[in-house]
Amino acid sequence: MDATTGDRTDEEIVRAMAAGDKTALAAAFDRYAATLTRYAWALASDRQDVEEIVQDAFLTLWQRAATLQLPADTMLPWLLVVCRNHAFNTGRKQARRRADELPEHLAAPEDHDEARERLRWVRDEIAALPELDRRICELCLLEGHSYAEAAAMLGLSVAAVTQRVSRNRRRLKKAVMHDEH
Amino acid sequence: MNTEPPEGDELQRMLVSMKRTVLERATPRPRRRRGRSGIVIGVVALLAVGTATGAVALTLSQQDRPVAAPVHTQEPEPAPSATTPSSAPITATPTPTARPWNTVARIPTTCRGLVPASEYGRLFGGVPSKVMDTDPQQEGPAVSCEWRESESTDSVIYVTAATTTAQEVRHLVDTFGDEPQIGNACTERPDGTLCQFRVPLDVGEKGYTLFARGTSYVIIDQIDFPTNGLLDAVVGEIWGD
Repeated sequence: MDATTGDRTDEEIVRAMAAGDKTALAAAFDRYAATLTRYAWALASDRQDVEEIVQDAFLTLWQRAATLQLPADTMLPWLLVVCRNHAFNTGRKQARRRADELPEHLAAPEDHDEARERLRWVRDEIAALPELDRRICELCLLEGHSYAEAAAMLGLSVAAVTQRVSRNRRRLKKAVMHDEH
Repeated sequence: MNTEPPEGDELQRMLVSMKRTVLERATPRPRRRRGRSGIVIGVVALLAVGTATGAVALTLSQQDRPVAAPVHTQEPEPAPSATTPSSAPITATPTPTARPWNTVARIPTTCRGLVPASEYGRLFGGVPSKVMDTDPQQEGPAVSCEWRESESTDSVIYVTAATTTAQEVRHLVDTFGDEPQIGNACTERPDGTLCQFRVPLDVGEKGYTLFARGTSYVIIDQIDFPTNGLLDAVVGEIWGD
């Protein structure tokens, strides 16, 4: 999956969405919905939850496009993190409903192996991402960091999306190299 | 799920269905299905904070070019004490008081019902309004309206008022400021919680305001559609302040 294929880059799509262009939302959906669906499939308990999680992730993208900052090349890591958060919220609400039966589930910590298992159907997509995006995915989806934390850990300055055109890729690459030791 | 994810035609059918739903729901109004959260909101910079309570007037900066917004006859309100960009202030006019606030909102069913009738012309002029989609699964009453001169104009404002659960309202507030550059975009005030951001766009300026009290909330999403005292008017109308 290459975010630069098609008519618009991810950044251009985000900017168009910020201006209320629904065709940009459709483009983002076409580009990433299948991947998100596979990821959500491993997170949710039923198909209806999968649909809800994926839809909510894209609606979050739509609503936050005006302020969204993509520190790397693609929006996929961000969408995956949002997807995970929506899945968590969905699961938390379900857990509240059945708290009488399964209270221990509420306090169950996220397990690294479990997190890795949840990525089993999107490993290829993540592996194919540019380095920065892949690292963000690892930090967020495997190690449990927030998107903002991951960006900070990679030394990425999240400037406004409208100001990121002239970003210094060499500096970003250096930050990644430094982070990976 | 332990089953394999769908592939081929089955996946395509699922994607088509989800895409249609996403595009239909791509309005500022948070929606839920089956009583769950579909709440999504945008976030960026905290601009103004009223330290006390009461009236909050969101004012997007007037643009140099004409916009499809009504002419404002009201004088600009004084700048708030909190830090606010000079270009487009969001003004808060605190009304120091310790009085209890009505937490039971009366959600109207029409767009005109969102603001006092006497304020409607000043706020929206002759810009056409329409009620956005309604969700039968919504846990409480809700109305979401769009004001747009025509489909060809970028200037638009959406106002949503809804009553839901305390958890959902909390989720709205909690997720408002989770973008890294914003920090805490929300302010707890005696009369409720106010979250705001503003961001420049190619087509003008976008302002996004969330005001929550009890189990109800108001969202104002405006792009290149300046208003003066709109939130104040809506809050006053539905909570009777």
